[in-house]
Amino acid sequence: MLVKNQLTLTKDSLALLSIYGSLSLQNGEYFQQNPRLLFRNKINCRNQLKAFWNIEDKESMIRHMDWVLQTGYREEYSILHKRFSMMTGPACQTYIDNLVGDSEARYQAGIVYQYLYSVPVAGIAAYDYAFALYAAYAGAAAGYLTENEKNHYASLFVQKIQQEMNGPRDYVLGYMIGIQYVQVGADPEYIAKQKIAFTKMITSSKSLLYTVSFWKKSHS
Amino acid sequence: MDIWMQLGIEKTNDIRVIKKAYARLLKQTHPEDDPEGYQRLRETYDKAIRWARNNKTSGNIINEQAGEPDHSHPNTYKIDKQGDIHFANEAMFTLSEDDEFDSEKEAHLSSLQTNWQQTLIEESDPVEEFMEQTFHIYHNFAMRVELSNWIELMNHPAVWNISMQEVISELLLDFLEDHHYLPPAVWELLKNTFNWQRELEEDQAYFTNQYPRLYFHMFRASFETDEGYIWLSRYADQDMEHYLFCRSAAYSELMMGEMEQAASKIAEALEFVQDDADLLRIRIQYHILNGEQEQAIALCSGWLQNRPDDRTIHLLYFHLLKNDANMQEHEAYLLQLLERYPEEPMLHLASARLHMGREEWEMAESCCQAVLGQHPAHAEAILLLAEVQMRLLQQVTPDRRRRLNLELGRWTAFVRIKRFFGILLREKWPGLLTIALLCLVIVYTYQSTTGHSLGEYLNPTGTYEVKSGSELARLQPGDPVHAYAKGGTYTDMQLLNWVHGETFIMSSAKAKANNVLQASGYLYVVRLGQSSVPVSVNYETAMKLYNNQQAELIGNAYPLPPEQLNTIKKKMLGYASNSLEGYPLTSYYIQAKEGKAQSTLPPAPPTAKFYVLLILILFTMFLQGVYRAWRFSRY
Repeated sequence: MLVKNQLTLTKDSLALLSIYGSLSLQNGEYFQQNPRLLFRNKINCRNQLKAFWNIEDKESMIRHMDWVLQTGYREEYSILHKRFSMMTGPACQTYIDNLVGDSEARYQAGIVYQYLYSVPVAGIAAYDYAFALYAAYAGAAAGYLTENEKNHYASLFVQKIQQEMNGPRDYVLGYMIGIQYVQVGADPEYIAKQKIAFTKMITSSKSLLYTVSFWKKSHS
Repeated sequence: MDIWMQLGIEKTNDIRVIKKAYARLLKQTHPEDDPEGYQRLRETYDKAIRWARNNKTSGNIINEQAGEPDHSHPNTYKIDKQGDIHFANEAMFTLSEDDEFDSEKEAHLSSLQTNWQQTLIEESDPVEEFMEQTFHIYHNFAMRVELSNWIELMNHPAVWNISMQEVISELLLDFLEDHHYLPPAVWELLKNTFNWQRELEEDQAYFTNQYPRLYFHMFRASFETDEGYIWLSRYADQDMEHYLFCRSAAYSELMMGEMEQAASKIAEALEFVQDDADLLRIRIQYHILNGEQEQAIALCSGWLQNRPDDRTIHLLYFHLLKNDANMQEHEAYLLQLLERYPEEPMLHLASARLHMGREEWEMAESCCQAVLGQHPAHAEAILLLAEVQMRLLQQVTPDRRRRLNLELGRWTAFVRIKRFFGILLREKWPGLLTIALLCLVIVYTYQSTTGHSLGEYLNPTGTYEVKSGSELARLQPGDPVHAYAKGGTYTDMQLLNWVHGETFIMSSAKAKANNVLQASGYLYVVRLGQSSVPVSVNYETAMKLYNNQQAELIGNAYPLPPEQLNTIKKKMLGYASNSLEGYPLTSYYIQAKEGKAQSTLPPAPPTAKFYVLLILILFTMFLQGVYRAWRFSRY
């Protein structure tokens, strides 16, 4: 039973973090179908962890994972979303336009405003959780987390996804908005360029998201 | 001279006191009349401010002058995780609901006024006049909400006097920190007139610490609107200060997730004004966050009956309605909104969903495309369009289907095969190259260490079927042979193959005496066709031949040295019946003792096994790559 649960957890985690593969512009679909390849190389994992979250050792790894669990980017998104929800459209627009001195804040505020009525209930939590799942696996591959710690974090994030997301569509939408919100320096047309990689996550019957144990039923 | 003496104050870390002293001295030292004096004063001021900041401890004001009124206010705002400032529950400037509120407020306001008067007592008239006018406009609510009054105030000569502008700016900041309920347009005007944005950027930590409430109202996104303030002017006879406080507090509590506190502040605010749009949005958000969707919808609906042009509430209302299962019922409303706000993506996407519900896929597609035309990276539109196009696939012409398939990433078989080999080669070319190199190394190793090609090892020479002894002469030494013989003549001799390849023939008695009987073969002479052939066989075969039974001979053919041939001939001649007569003895013999043909090739080089193992490992990895490429190509 324990082994079966562990296998289910691994399968679900890999399926859920498969969306992370879409970060690769050239091989997005390849990585989506083969998520284990995302952390096959220890040095690559270390570089990614350092580049994304400045994780260099076990301590910073744990600190990051706990931050995602507690706060993540979803909290600041939700605060801004809540604030805009209580403002008039022109007031939001004026506020955004006035952020001339801070292009990053302006861009992020623009994203929140654009998706004011589209964002899923869980906000951009999908982005936080998908990246956290990747971080857990990459952290284990990089030697910053033990297998037990990796499984512990993976189970927490999988549980959160199960509780907060209504299905693959919510998950992919939250992730896409999260990408646009968080990765400020990225190509603004990245989502449009990776359109196929994202849509296939919900339109292809071979999408790994439909193999996630708690979403299987809804798909069938 | 001591900086405090220069400023004419006691040593203090209260920045407001320092600023006021500086403001007072600035009026006596005009930068144009006395640039050096101004420079000295500015340096003294900067030193004092630096000292005050470095020595500022929370809540403790160092003030050596007994009885100096403490102008600092406890921070009545909470700071959330984003560093944003919100009202704390126990706001100092509560204008609370108790009975003594009015008298307290009056006392507070009059004390402020007294302070201003004290501060300005020795100041020149224009500054005093400006501050008096500010005070007057602010405390008359109807005047406060009119931007024109503030514009007029900003045209006051004191504002455009270089020596006074700095003083006014400082005094105004202090004033507004405690009087911060102003329409956004007024904040904008003040901010731009006095360049407070630059002041904030120069030292944000100081500014936010010194003017937390002012910062909150002037620089953060505000739910308050100019229209809202103007609307409230009709309630100017009521206690607007308290209402505005409750409204702001409700907003802050909601932002902090304090639902009960927010509810209480909303209720309190509603006692004064019920038809404030700015408060309405707070109320709607409160119900949404509280999971009370129905109440939120009712509020929107009720509001729109009286204010049918409120775009924000329309969109909010529709957003709440779109989750309704009976969306079809709201079609008329959606069309009406689309007509009014044709650029609103949410409405187009709702329209797409409506068409999807009716299986009008083409219409749904064009709605999504309309959004993507404006916002190519709109995530929801991208996903919705994909869903619509998946449905459209079933109904469109083959040509259109081909295009849709391309848009959806549903590849043709040819593209899939191309993708398969493309990714396989891209991912596995190092492995494939290593396998090829290892194969070359193996070929070279065989050739260089054995003198035989790998091909000879992989495809050894076949066994020759021998019917006649004369055929043996055509074979290469050691070639494997197969023959059947019946009967024969036992020579009573043994044939022994030495390890170095030589043969040795000895009598059976001698072989027994030398204990090599097991190692050697029984030497028979059998007839194959018209020849007599010496064969070395094991005991079982020898017995069959002895009993004149047919025996199968499998082994290798080797030439015999002439002297050994003669030995056999002599032995045969010694027998009663000369069996060799008419059947000449061949110069080859068949070594069939083991009952199987021996390979003529030397043993394979040992390193070859290691290389083969490596190739097998690499090949397993290559197969994994094939599996992954297959998953990719079928996706």
